[in-house]
Amino acid sequence: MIGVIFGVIVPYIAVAIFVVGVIYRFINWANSAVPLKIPTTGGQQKSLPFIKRTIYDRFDSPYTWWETVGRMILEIFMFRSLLKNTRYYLDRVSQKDARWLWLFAILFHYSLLLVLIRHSRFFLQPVPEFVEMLSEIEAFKGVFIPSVYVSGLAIVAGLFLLWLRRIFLSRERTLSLPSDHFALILLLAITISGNIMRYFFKADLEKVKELLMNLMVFDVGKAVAIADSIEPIFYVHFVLASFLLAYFPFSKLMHAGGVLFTPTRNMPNDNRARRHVNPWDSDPSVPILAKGITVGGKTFTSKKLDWDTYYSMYTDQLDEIAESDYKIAPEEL
Amino acid sequence: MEEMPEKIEIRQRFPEWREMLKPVKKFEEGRLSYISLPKQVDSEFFKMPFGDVERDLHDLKLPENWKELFLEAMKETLEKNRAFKLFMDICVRCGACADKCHYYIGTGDPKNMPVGRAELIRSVYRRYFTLSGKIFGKWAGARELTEDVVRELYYYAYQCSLCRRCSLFCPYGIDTAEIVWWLRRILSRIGLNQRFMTISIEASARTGNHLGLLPGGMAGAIQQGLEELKDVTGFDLHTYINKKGADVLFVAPSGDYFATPHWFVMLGYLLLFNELEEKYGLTVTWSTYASEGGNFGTFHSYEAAQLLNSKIYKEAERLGVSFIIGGECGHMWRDKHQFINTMNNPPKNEEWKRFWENPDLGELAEGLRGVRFDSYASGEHGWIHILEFTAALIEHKKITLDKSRNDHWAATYHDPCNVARGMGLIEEPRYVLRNVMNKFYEMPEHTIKEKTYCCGAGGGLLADEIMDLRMRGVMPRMMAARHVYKKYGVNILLTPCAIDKAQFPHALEYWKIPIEVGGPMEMVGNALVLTAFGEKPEDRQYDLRGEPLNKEEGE
Amino acid sequence: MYHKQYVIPLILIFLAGFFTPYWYNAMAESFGYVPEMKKPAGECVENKDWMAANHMLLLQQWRTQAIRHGAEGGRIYHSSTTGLEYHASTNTCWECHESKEEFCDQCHDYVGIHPECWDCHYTPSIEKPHYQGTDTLSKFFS
Repeated sequence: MIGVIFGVIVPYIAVAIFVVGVIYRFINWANSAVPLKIPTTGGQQKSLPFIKRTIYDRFDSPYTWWETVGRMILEIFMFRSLLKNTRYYLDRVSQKDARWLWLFAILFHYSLLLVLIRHSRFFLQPVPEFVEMLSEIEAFKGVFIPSVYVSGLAIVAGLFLLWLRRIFLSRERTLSLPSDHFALILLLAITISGNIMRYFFKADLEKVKELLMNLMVFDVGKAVAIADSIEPIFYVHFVLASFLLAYFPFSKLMHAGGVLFTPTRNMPNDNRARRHVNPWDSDPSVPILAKGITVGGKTFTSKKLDWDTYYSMYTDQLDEIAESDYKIAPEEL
Repeated sequence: MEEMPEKIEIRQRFPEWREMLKPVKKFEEGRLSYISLPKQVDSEFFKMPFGDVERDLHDLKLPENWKELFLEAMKETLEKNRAFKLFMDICVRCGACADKCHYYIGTGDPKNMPVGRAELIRSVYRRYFTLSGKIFGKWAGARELTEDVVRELYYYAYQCSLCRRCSLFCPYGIDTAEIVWWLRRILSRIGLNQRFMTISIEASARTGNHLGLLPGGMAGAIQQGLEELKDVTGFDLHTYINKKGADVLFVAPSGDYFATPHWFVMLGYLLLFNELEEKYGLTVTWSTYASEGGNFGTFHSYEAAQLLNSKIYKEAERLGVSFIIGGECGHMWRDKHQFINTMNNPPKNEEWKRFWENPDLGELAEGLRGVRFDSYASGEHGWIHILEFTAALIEHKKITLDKSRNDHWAATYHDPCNVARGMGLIEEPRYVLRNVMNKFYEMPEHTIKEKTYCCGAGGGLLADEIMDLRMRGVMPRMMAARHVYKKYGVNILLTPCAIDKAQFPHALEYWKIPIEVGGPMEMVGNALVLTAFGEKPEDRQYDLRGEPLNKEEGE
Repeated sequence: MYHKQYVIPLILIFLAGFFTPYWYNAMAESFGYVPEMKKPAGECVENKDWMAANHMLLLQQWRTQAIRHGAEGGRIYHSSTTGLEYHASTNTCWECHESKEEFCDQCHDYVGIHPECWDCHYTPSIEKPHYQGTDTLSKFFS
């Protein structure tokens, strides 16, 4: 019975929530307008030809579409902004490069990537060559029995380091919400249960793959039959992972998709070459305030200071300027 | 002016997360901005919702259905600005931004961390716009919107100078400036505006510039500048104002017309324009209608920014100029680089169109052929920074410079935050400075270029009542300045930003660093040899401040 | 919805990435594939379900027994399931499981695992060289 709930029903629900949730979030973000082109420029702009730009400037202050893509790729795969991190020391009135956070983050995220690639063996038939090769490389095959997957341990280490930051560094402790701890604990539980399953309490992997292959083709009858014969330790891992999938779209973990949408990174710094049109103010011939804004049923309109109004207000002085033929020269003494 | 704080003690506090969700009840002396008076926000030219009531922070006198209005404005913001919505959703609270904020470094107040500041409104977002916040409440980091929360939002929204330094270090590019900017807009919808910035916005909406200068006053100020230049150079110089048919419209921040040390920069502009007109025939005009380059609306809301910057393209069209040069200003260049041509339709006059088809200065003045701007600018925008312009002139050897006239200055350069991080103008000023002076030194690497520290008074925080906050916020910059002062004997801090020039003299005095403040164009003005007037490099006896150039001879 | 030209491809890439198994297995025509093993009749050394998950531990123990205690007669393994005694050696396995390809490899390939045991150890599928006089030997030791 437990097998049926945790092995069949829960994963179906979780996957459905994950897929629908992620797409919902993407569309939800895309539904908001981008009124202004606001890249954060982290380097020299493209300007006069003799002002040289280094390769870093081109990616930190991109001008073309490709440079912007390059910036995004560096941001996503290298965490470039974190790599710039410094730390300010109040007592010494100095600062130093502080790249620990970058290191921990890279450690965790790349381990996660490797772990996910390795897990594809349970979904793909036949198992792709490169997945097997990757597993063998990172396992230092032949050194330990059973072979030790480095990424599996590194991900736990990375998560612990990230969590210890939140616990022991005062600033990070102050700004961590329960949900931040929760996400880390959840990931820790998943990775630790996975490691336990690998090294201590074994589960029958052939059955696991059989279950997943049957779930994938919606052969519920067979899946149910297999589900009950798999060891409980597998379900600890499996249910937590399912929960993570369902939790993912509605939590801060969605930063994985959100980073693609940030206007301060994914827009080129070419404001002066190409005009950006604000979708909700596409004809700005009259300022919005002059048209009037409505708040709580009342409309507030500011008078627009166009040239004619201006001239009528300050006619004398403007005429005086006109009389001098619009020229200012030092007074003759 | 409010008294300077006697001493600054930075007390760092690290409360637990529950504390962070509770609104602050006690507001520190010298950090709380005044709320606008009716004459500023209920004026004919700048009418904000519910601006007709006089409030203070202890008695907000919010409209009856303020909560509804607030949430409505917030919902509108979420739909109108993807950045705001996204930044509400994807922060992971990694803490990379925390010690990047100069206000956090200076105050130690945990809610002044960029992430802490954003959490103030994010917690409200979670409560009213996300399912988890509605169900789990506090445990999901959500909180009710109460009057105390609104007070706190106001208090902290006006402790951010919108410098975007946090955005540079955030792995997702979360821009607290964007959050705070739109939060201020939400607050303005229930009648809360900051007094200092609305004074300027209202003045600019009514008279065309923040200082409220009338046309005659502005012409008089420029005239006085020309008189001073006559004393310095001995030549009869002139300039144009409101002149139709000029080649270029020049727009400077209004501080340049009066304040010191902005004034010396103004003299620098005038010298350059005179040299160009006399030598090549390029005419530059000022305008009383578009007399303000800066735009305090960019501290307030999209709409206010639009109201103020809508004048300039209109004026360019009316005067029939070919392009616009902008003066030395910080936030002005965020507005003029990233906002203005989205918020307005670019000019459509013939001269403008013709020039931008082939943007070569030779089309306007034959002698300047070769100076082109099409590598990065087009007629859809049409603004050139005065330092870019000068750099181009220097590169093409169109002006003669005598570096030695600046030998009494040892300078360092402060990148204004919006110019560095909203525009990317980093190397041009350095190029100019290296060409106009011999002694130029950089501050420590972590405090310049795109990592520059804010002066602590941007974003509408140049108000006197928050002097304590300003002196704290400027601390990292001052420490960097002290470093170069001690190491290289630097005696002037150059910055192309009007707000910096207003803030730094106070800050340098407070932090006991005996150096001057100026702008790069002042150095250009010193070094510029007016060859068209027959000046020889050794002719100039005084610099723009009236100091004798050759001390030994003078004494 | 704004920026359709980016968001729609993004969603498609996400779906294609997440549902990789579907198109991959469709190309390999292996939907719902389950390996077929040639299972000999009778009892195994231990409970069959336990063996499916833990046979590698048993073999590891047998290896230790053989290497450390083999000379002292330590290669006797007492089954906890049946109580019978077994000689701790892979050859014991091969007594029932006649083919590595039809038994071991089925699962191992299925989940993509390649134990290195058989790099050295004997399996029934290995062709044993038969002594055919010194001429043949010299072929191996030239």
